[in-house]
Amino acid sequence: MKTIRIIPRLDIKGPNLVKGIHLEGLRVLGSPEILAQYYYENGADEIIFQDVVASLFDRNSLHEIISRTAKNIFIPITVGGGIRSIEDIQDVLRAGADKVSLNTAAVRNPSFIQEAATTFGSSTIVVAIEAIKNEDGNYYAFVDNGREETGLEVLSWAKKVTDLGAGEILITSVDRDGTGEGFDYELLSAVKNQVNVPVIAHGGGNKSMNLIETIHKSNVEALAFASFLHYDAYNLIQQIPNGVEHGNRSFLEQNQSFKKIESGNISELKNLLLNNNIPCRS
Amino acid sequence: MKPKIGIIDYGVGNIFSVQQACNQAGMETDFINDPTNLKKYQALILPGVGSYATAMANLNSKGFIGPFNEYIKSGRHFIGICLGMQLLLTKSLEFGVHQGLNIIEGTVEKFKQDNNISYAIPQIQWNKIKKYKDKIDKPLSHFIEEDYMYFVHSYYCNVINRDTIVTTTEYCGIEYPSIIRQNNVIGMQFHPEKSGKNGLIFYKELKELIIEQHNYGI
Repeated sequence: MKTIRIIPRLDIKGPNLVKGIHLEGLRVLGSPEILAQYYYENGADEIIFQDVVASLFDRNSLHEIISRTAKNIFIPITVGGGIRSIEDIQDVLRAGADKVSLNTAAVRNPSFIQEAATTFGSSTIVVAIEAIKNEDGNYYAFVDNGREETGLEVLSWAKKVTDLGAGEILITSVDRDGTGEGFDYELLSAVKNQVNVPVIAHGGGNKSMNLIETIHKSNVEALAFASFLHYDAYNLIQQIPNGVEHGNRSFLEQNQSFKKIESGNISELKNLLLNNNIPCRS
Repeated sequence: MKPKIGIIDYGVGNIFSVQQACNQAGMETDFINDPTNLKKYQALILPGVGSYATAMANLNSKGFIGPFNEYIKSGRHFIGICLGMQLLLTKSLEFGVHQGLNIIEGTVEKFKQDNNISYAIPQIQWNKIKKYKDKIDKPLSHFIEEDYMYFVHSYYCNVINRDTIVTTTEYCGIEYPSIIRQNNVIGMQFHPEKSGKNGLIFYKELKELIIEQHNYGI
């Protein structure tokens, strides 16, 4: 049986959970461990931590977040951001991650994917691709949260990374990210046609019929959500981070609501799937 | 009495999540990378992710093979998880033919694409376990029929003796063994330490069984 996974993606900057729109304009949303725990208890199938700044300075705080989280939640944890060497992978796995996601390092040196897959097994290596649609109608891969163009065309890049041993692909539509406009199933379907490994859709997710269409039309294996889930969880948890000041916290302190984006929880998403005869863990 | 579990550390897999799950259930753990003192553990867990050939080569070069067989003869629990389950079999067809530990007779084979439904390979997802036996003994008796577990694999165990099958799971159009058992040797294709509360049940039952056996002087 094929079952669809629902995966909260938590973007981390220093000690805080953040979320931007089009991967830009970060807002501080709270403590990542608390949110991860909340999602675990509410039916998340996996968790993705993405270190969006990945500076050397913040590395220890990322490892601490991973190990604190891994002590209490017993579902797979994928960690991405700033992973450049076999030692970096070892470090996050030792901290308690189950999989790593590679982007920039894979683009700069594709043979790193092969080295990583040989060392740790394909199923430990996720390659993340940030896709932006060009005027010519093709999608191109970006790095650095959608800021830096690589010149790589997404479909052939996706094929290449799986040939090199990637066990899974995480596709972010930068155009949709943080907008709640729905997944870009045209992009996802084109990628799925190129590869046989599981594909995780990310960017724009909401709880409309777009979800069902995305699964039927693109055949993806998993759906990752950030804004959609965080805003709902935030409204419930209402906690202010105690961490060091990083980025724009005025949002939290003024307790502004996030009315711009429709939000919801994991059960609502799973019920929508089940009501449309799409199997998922419930 | 606090059960002490040895987790075999031979350079592959996330051994830390196995440790967390054992600790959470109230058991102590050691990572073991040398086979000299296995007898002080009430159970051994052989985890593993990655390449079959590399895993066997590492176990061989560290001298684990003989001591594993002796440990198993002592009647204590020996538990293989994911690749660790596959290593229990006679051989694997992963990139050539590779000899396994040959504790449970069978061959590790790759999933084949189903013609009707598109299945991704590897299987990376939650899937259901179905009981294959009417009566299931401890420490596997608390698993709930049709509960979802977390699986990550491209190959599955094709065992010769169907009596060793405890539960099955369906993927790529085939029903394959998701838990196998031969006396005190247990193999699980899914990750009980990554299957939320459904999987932690196993670690708790293992702990209770070890204490029970200890109290009866077994």
